[in-house]
This record gives sequence, structure tokens and C-alpha cells, in this order.
Amino acid sequence: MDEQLSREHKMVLDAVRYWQKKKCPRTDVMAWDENGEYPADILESFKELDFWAMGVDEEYGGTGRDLTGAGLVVETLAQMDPVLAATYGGDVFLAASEIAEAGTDDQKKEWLPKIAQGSIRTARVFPREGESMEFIVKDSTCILKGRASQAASADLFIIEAVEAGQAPEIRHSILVPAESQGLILTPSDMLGFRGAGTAGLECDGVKVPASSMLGGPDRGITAKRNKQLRGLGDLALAFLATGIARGAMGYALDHAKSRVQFNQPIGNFPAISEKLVTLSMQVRAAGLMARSAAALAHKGKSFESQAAQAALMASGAAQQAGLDGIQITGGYGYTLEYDAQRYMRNAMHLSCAMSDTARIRETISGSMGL
Amino acid sequence: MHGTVSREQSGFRERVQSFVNSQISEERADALDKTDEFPHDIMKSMAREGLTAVNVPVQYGGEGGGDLEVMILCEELSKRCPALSWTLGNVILYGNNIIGVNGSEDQRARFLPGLAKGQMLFSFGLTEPDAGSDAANIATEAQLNSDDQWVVNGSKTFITGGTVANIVVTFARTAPSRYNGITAFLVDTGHGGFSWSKIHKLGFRGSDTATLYFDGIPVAPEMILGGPEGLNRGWEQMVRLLNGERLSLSACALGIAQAAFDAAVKHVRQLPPPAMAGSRQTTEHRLAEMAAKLEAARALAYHTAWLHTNKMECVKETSMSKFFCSETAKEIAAGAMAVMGPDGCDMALAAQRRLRDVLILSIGGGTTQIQKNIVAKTLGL
Repeated sequence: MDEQLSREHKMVLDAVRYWQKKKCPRTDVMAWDENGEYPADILESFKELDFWAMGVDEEYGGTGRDLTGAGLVVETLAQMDPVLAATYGGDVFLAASEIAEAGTDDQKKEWLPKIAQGSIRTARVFPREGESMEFIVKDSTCILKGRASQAASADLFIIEAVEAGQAPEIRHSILVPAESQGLILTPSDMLGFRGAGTAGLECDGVKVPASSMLGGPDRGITAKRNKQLRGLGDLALAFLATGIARGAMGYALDHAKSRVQFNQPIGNFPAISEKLVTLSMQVRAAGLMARSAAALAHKGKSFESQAAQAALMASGAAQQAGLDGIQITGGYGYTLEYDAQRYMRNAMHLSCAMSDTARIRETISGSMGL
Repeated sequence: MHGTVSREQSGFRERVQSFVNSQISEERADALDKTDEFPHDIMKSMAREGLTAVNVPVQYGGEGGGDLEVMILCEELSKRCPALSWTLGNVILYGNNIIGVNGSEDQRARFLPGLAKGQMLFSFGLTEPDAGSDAANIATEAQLNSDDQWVVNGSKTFITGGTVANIVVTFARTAPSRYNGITAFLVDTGHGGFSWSKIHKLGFRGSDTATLYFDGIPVAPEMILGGPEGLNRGWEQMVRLLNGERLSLSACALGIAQAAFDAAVKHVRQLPPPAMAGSRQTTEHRLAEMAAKLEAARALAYHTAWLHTNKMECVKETSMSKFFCSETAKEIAAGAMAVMGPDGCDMALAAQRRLRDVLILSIGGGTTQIQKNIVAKTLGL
């Protein structure tokens, strides 16, 4: 899979792999998962590699936006620890992109340099179907009220909300620092991505200056921006799921080569090797589709449908790799001492978290004129 | 149901459902999963209800039922808490069934009355670290000493109920022949040479699974399964149990699948009406497919049970049932989670537990791949 990469991107991959080998041994990652621990110290050492800068333009302290490079970082991190991958991916694909595209000059100057340094952790909050997040603007203050069930621990939340009394299609993104009064996070115990700090988020009259509305009070999320934002989310998801799938497959492959039954490695049996053959095709296809969509986005071309296809392909591959990984590793893979079960949990979590698969499919069907 | 279950058996199903609804709350099932502790309290309740006696012959104090009653029991328990079908299995499968099918008359008289009352727990000690799918490759051995006692040495792994069992039916090599050199010993776990370490699993938590160690444990010839004449006949004794085991595991899968399906349907019914008529078609069709597959799996399993109960050849059908039910249940449990969205992976809800539980059913008791090997063999391939 590395053969089609530029020299710069190969260097990115090598750097992430080297860091990961040194700082993320499997036993540590499994312990973080078991304890629901966010490895903040480890992440600090990752920041020294300066990869957050790939999400931000040079004038704001970045090295220029490079979605393929950032995607490779997400994919490689996710092979071992999807929590770190999701943290990085959220900052670069969602927060940095949205602020760069829609933010006012002041907002860009305030937040982008921090994102470029990795010094703040962000979380984009999309209320689900049936959840409500509303705001009113009074005396230059924006007051937020509502709930969203899927948030993660962060320093800065970018909360999507509707102005009270206005049509629900007209939404705004509002920058809300974690320390804001009235912002309540209720941790959720989830199957996967333990350590990500998944939580229900409640805004009980949270007050932020009206200048915290992304792009200013008069600039809602346009249809074009919404499409692009969802596309970037799908792209991040595609790289993340590809990484989980690749990690799960690699783990099962190692077992298939070393586990001997009937006097031979179980990988010699077609029933096992066929599973791995199919997974290898799915993972390769997902990775290539994600890179292709990232390249389109980088060139400023329409990429949303391709990103949606990549997200569906990759999440399907991750789920299959997670489930097959347990079947291939057998009784051992079913124990908590083995890592197959962690891959499966993270893959299933990702599939479930994609609650808007209907929206993703509509993106693709829409591009086909359906 | 399907013309294969008698009125009495339907009545038995209602009796089990009533027990589950009154004695095993959702909260208790959740707590069992979280604490991963063997549920001695529920085992006592099940014994009081007579569930431990279901497949013990009447003359030994049992209810005289057979594998079909065991299936009903496993299916109904698995709808609420699959692990309980395994903890109960430490009595009804590894005790009642093994002794009932293979035990000597003395062994039946000695063990079945206590088992029927839920006073004893048995484990099935076959699997070893290097003998999983290749089950005949066991290295645990027993040698006859000068006192005419068989001395068992070795270890077993993935043994259900291994931490709590009073007797482990331990398969050990007693002669070089791959299949005809294996003997099943009834090993008393009270002996000082017996020890265990618990295995922490992804699912079926509370059904204690363990690695067992046998360090020079003497066993009298009378405690060979089937008596002294059971020497070197362990493999054929084990094969006699396979149809029943595959059917009970099929039933566990059906119970989990039914519960997963019901929860997914309930979830969709509770959603606000879709913004556009027909826009929920993908989900609705997914549920329709799940319903059809679940029905097909149940029909196969109970038809096979009917063949088995009527003493008809059904090795092909039990293997088909085992892999089809467990793979279908896996698909339904995963599909139900997807239908439920983020709720599907919320540890406070049971959807994710059903997937964690169901994943062992395509591995334990012979993997899906081994079952397909058997089916292929019966097809003359």
C-alpha cells in the first residue's frame, strides 16, 4: 500500500510507525483500553512530530493543509490505537477545516495556531435525530440550550445548533470552551473507543459571546459548507476505519501463521486463508478509496461522494475484520488477554456511531442523480 | 411449534419463561456480565424450580426430559442471560447428560440424584492449549500406578465452570492410539493436585471459564466414565454427546438472536416518524431479512431436534444447525446494533452484550469451520 505514496508521505508514515513502535506497545494500549484511560502523556510526545500542522495553513502556524498526509496519520495510529487516531483526526479534519473555511479572521487567529500545535483538543458535536440543540442571541451573547448524546472530552466544542424559532435547516456552528458554565458532560460507558471520554453533552443555558458563532452571527452553515463538512467527517472516518480493519487483519494473520492445529498453521486451511484473502482486498480497497477522496479534496474538487463511499467500504471492512479476527483467533481471541476482542469492539463501536448511514448513502445516491 | 414440540414441552417453555421473568431481571443479567462472578444464587433458584432435574430419568429423581427440553431451557435462558444456560450446563449437560449417556449404573446411582437437586457441578475437560479444533491431539495423560490407580497429569483450558466444578470429566491419553487411546476420568476437584486459573472473557461472563491443572491426581478405575470398561473409550463417549451439545448451543444462539431482533424492532418502533414516507425502508428491509433468517434457523434447529429425539441419523443436521444458528445469530446481533445506532454500543444497554456473548457460539463446541467439514464429509466429499 505504500508504493503509490510521495516521498513526503512515506516519511510521514515512517515517522508515525517509528513513534508508535516506541510509545504504543500493545500491552500499554490494551491497558489504556481496559482502564478507559486517555494517554495524554503519550500524546504529548506525539505532538513533537508536528503532524497537527498538516491541518492548518502556513499563515496560521501550520505547514499547509494536507489531507492525504493527515489521513495516513489517522490510518496508521488506528492500526494500534483508534482513540489517538480519532483525537487527531477530529482536530485536523473537522475543527481545523471548519474554522479555516468558515471562521472570521479573529476566530482563525485565535484557534488555528493552537490546533496547529496540537495544544487544544476539539470535539465536533452533531445532535442526532430526535435531539435538540437551540440558541438565542441576546445583548451580544449567545445562549445555548439542549442535549447531544455523542460527544467526547475536549477543550473546545464546536456545537451545531439551531436558532430558536427558526427553520431547523438553518444551523450554526458555535465555539464553546469546555470550561463554559452550564456545559455538562455525563460520561458514557461504551463498547469501544474507551478512553475517548465519550459523553452525553448538555448545554443548560451556556453563555458565550455572539462572536463565538463561527463566521459571525449572520453566517449559518450553508448547504455547501454542510456538504463539505460531512464529507470531511466521512473522509476521517474512512481512514480511521481502514486503520482498525488493517490492525485487526494483521493481528489475525499473525495468529493464523503461528497457531498450529492438525500439524500445520491454521492459515494453511482455505477456510482461514480465504477469510484473510477477502479481508486483504477489502482493506486495500478501503485505503485506496480514502486516499483517492483525500486527493480530490486536496485539489479542491468535489470529493464528498467518494469520501462517503470510502467511509462505507472502510467501516464494513473494519466490522468484518473485527468479527473474523475473533473467529480466526478462536477461543484465545475471545479472552481479554488477546487483542482481537478490542479490535472487534472498536470496529463495532465505529459502525454504530455512524448513525447517519442513511445520510451517507444519500450523498452517494445524490451524486448519481437518484 | 413447527409440529416438533409436544404440548408438555410447550408447557415447559412457558414454565421457563415464567421463571426467567420472575427471577432474572435485566439488571441481574447486566450485573452478572459486569462482575463476572459465578451466580450461585441463581443456580439455587433454578434447582428449586426443578430446572437442574429436567433431563434426569425419573428413577433418579428427575423429570425424565431429554435434549429437546434442554434446548428449550437454553433458548429461553439465553433470551435474558445466555451465561445462565452455561452455568446450568454445568449440571444438565456436563453432569446429567454425560453421566446419563455414558455413566455406569453405579455412577448414575451415585451422581444423578445429587445433580438433579443442583447439589453438584460438573465440567467437561477436553480442550487443551494445543488441542482446540484438533481435539484428539491431547497431551494430558494418565498412568496406572502400583496401587492400581490412574494418575492424571496435564492441563486443560477454556473449561466452562472449571473454577466451581466438583467433578471434571477429564479426557486423558492412556494409550498411543489417536482416538482409541483416550479415557475420560471423573476427577474430584477436592484433591490437592488440582488447581485452576480463571480466564477473563469477552462475553458469557459469569460462566466461569478456567485453565485447569492436574498434578498427579490419582483416580480409581471405578471413576473412569462408564466404569473400568470405559478405558480407552473416551473418544466414542464424547462423540455420543456431540449431537445434544450442538443442539443446545444452537438453542443458545436462537435465544440471543430473538432477543437482539426484538430489541431492534422495539427501538425502531419508538423512533419519531421519518421525515419522508418510506425513508426508513433500508432499516425495515434489514429487519425483515433478520426475521426470515431467524425463522429459518429455528426451523432447522427444532427439526434436527425432532430427528435426534426420534433416534434418527442427524450428524449432518446437527452440524448444519450449529453453524447456521450461530452464524445467523452473530449476523442478527451485529445487525441489531447497527439498527440501534449509538445505543447499540452503549454498555448500559444489552445490545452490545448480545454480540459479545454470541461470538463464542461459532467457536466453542466445534467451530463453524469444523462443522462445515463434518457436513462436507456427510455429503461424501
